[in-house]
Amino acid sequence: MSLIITIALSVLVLAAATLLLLLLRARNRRLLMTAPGVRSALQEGPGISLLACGVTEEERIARLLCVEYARYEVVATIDGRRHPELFARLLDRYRMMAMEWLPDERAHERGMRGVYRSRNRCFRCLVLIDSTAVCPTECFDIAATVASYDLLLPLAGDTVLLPGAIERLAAEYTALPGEGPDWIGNVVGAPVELIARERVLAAGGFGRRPARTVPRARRRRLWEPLGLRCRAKRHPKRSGRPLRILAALLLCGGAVAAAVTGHWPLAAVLLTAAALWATYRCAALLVQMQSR
Amino acid sequence: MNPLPYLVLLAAATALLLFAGVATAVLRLQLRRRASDEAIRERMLRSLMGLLLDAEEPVFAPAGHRERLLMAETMAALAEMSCGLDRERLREVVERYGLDEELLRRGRLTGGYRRARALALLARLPLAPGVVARLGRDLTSRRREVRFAALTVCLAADPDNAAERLASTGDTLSPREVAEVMTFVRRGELTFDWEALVAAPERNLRAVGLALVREFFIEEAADDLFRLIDEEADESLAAEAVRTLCALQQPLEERTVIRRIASMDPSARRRLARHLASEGYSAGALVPLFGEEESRPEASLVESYKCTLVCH
Repeated sequence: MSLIITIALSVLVLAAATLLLLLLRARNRRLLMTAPGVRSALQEGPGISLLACGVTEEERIARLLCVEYARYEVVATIDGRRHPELFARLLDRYRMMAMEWLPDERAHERGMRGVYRSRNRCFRCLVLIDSTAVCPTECFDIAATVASYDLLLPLAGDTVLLPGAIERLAAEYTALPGEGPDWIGNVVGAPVELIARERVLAAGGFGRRPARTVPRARRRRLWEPLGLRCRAKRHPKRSGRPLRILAALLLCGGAVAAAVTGHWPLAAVLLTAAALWATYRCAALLVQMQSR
Repeated sequence: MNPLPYLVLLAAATALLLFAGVATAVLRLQLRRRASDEAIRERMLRSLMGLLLDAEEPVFAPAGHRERLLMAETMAALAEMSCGLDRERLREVVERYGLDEELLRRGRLTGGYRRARALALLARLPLAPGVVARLGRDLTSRRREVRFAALTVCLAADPDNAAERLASTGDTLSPREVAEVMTFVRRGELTFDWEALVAAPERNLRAVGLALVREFFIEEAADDLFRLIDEEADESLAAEAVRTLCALQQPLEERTVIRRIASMDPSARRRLARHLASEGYSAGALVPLFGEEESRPEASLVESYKCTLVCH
């Protein structure tokens, strides 16, 4: 029994050390890629179309437009009949005008009512789609038909990009000679993935999970945060902190009580759970501090 | 019951907890240091700007390795965001405070990406040609990033031999690396003869030549580009030449271009068609290159752009 536990612990320690090394390596690579001179070199980088679905806040579009990368566009999908006020505000704020154009015959069937582009030159990278699609994969498929560039970045409703994430992805795409990878994704933080349009087309849409069809040699995985999950603001009284403190006290108290009364297995399980929970909270705090 | 396994488990859990705690504390410390670094950087930037505008202004004197690195970073960022700087004055500062020494020392002490970063920062500083001799093994490092960063140091320190150095490097330059070389050209630190580059036998020189033509919108290069499209053996570079023609807004209905596009694989053709659409070519210009069927999606995209222009 003790041998098994020792082996398991050794494996755990090795895994933790490997993870640490990977994170450090990723941090150093990020430092190199964001060194002065590298960012300005990306004037002619690959075009990236960000596909935003389920827009329910005006500010979300504003945040997505705050990217200084040149070859970048935001294709946002919104249901204009479900959120008429928001839709009208967006049309007014960005001086959007309807295009008498739909990308293909199936656009109506897919629930697309209209495509809007801005009259303002400074918002030329914004495309708004009025669509009845509710499912994120449907929204992404519709947005992909309108997108101008070859690299697609589908972004779920509650995810926000960290500053410099687009530039970082573009730098990674062009890091090696020849054609760039077909898929770039991250492991740390909220999932953000950049995928080649050709892969999405070949798979038959986002619903078919195109990332899975990309061979390993054409993938690139980044061990660094590119996005954050942005939860809705909670009421101060419902922040959950007292509950968390209570749970921590109960867990620790239970572990101590179990150890004192001689229930070793229960004490070990409770303490391990407490340690894992504390580690998770620390990791969450680290990501939160990093994003600030 | 033997409590030993559970004690081991308990010890492991405690160690994990301690590790997480220490990691959080270290990160907190780093964040605090980052805040103080920002304040120092701001003072350094003001001081350097003062030096450039008024030579009498005293320069913030960095104390210790950390502040010297901060000054090197500040100077590199300043050089990135401005052109026409008085490099002689900045070179005096570099020499006075040994900023090049500091970066070379950091490069020697570290490896991999950190060494590449130190060299990349060094390349952005105004350097004396003597630095090249001190790079040593960095030019032949087994890490691609380090080799390229060392090459940029050579380009910055010895701009007269830049073309030879680019030609002699054994690595094929990636698009990002070509773009980084172009930042030196934009800042006026490197000068190239575009005709020689486009006609050069080395792939790297041709890639830099194409970037140069695009960057400075050299319309006279159109004939050379048509020749390159016709003769180029490297498919990716030929596609790059077609894109360069697009950037120059040249007509593409030449036989050489049509032949080259026909020889591309379908996905590369689709990508090129999309690129042409985003560059503002009309739907009519796409048809002879890609055919009616293949250019239909891009043609409809072009229609949407044109509609914007007409209605506007």
